[in-house]
Amino acid sequence: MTDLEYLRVADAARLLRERELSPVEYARALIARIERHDARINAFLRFTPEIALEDARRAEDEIARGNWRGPFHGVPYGLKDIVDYAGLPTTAHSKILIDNIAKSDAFVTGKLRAAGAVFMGKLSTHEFAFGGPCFDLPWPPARNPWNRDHFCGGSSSGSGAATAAGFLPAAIGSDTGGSIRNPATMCGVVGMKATYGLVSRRGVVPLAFSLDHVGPLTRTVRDNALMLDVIAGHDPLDPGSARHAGAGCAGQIEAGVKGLRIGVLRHFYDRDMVADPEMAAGIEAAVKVLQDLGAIVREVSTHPLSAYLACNRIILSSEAYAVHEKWLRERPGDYGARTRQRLLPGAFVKAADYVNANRVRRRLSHDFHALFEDVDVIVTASAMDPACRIDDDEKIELTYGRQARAPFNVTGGPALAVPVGFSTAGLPLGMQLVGKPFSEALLYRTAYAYEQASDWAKRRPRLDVSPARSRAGSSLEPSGLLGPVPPAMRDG
Amino acid sequence: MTDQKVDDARRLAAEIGLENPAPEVLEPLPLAAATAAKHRAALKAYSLSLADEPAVVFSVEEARER
Repeated sequence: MTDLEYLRVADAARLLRERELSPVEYARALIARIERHDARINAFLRFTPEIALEDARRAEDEIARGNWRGPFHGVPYGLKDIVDYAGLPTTAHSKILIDNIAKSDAFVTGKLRAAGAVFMGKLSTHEFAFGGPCFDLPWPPARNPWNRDHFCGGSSSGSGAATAAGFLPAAIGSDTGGSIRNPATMCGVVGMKATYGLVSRRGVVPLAFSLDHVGPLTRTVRDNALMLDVIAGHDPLDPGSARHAGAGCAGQIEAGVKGLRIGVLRHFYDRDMVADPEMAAGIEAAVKVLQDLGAIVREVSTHPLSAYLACNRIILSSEAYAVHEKWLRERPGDYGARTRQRLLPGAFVKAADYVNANRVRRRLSHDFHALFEDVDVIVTASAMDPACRIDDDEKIELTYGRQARAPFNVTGGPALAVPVGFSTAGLPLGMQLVGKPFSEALLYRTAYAYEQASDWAKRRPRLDVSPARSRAGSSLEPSGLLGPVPPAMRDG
Repeated sequence: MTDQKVDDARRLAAEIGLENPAPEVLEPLPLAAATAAKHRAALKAYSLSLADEPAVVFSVEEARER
């Protein structure tokens, strides 16, 4: 068995079920890859090979006895370190929570445990899923496997980096203003922010209660659907949980797009904001592929992108400040500087602004969902630009505003980030597919048709290339500019 | 920070009810206030009518279920 590092979940499931692949052999291959490369990528905050091998041995034993639990049985995964795993710290990548040991599993952790998945560790995030890449925290920020001098997006940065680097086939992230879809786009992987409430947030450190979502990042569309099918479901202990049975996405994925009505929400990225020409060209080329596959394409329009972004920012900053006010008063020095700067605007938002943002939210959501009377799926940008350098503070700050992801945290409908190619500098490009609430299966079906017609999912970052031998944009050696990189914690 | 900037930051701290804020909190306050003002202005560009009810409302049904 070769190339276990880039094995798809769907293929691994078949091999594991038919006992052509041992879960222990699979876990060992990924452990070796993580040990070899993660000191330069920093995807893991807490790497847990002993837990992984224990899970893998259990899976091997169960499968040998004929008790195959499903497509994630024996498949490795990681959790963004805002998601609880019983007995391990949930740090949110922050000194504030460095000793915060989870008493029980998060809902999604429990689902993956029940599915027989193999836990590999806790993954890097922006501090409290909000701060951005910081060099003044207890752990370094994750780096982009396509070029480690570049930002890998966030806040689910370790989840994006680990899947792109071939450390894991699947990881869990969270998304309040685009934090699953941003690293997915920056790292060239697939990221789903499902309908608000489809995946429980119980056991996940909150950022903004009414905008928070939990979801999967994977290298392929089918793998993403498989993971969403595992983690979706009603949870009476999450007040925002939808009364919806589950996703049921993977089974419908091959239905194709012939006759599907696709709306292109172009003004978000060519008028309201002007995307980088390579990003825009990548999206337009993807739309042409969908049209060639039989989709009926037309342009759609809605309120300006700025209205959605302002609404998201007022609600997000108010709710986040409510969560953090006590710590900001009592332990301000324990936050990274960037996180403090991003949290403090919430103190200056008035109650009337918050209420009015929620009134605007309802209007925006109603008008946006009305678009689906005429189209089935909407295509728009995810990020406006490819990943910038991780040490370029000015561009890092700009990148949070130059995006079209937050609108769908406001509307609550599903949004899927899908790779659409690479820039001339070798950095990933991506688009976003958006649907009406609970239409995840349709988004996966559309993305899968596109993925099958392109070859982006087959490309891999070259982690061993040294700067001297690599082309511009594919260097993965330490730049020497950012200081030493401490290793992730190892856990038993 | 200059004395003027420190005074401005202390005024902002008082505005949000922070007493004796740490320097780490004091320093970013002017930019935080400016950022919030920008977001608030962007939202105010949106006109609302009396019929626009917020998305988050109290629900007796939901309260009873908890």
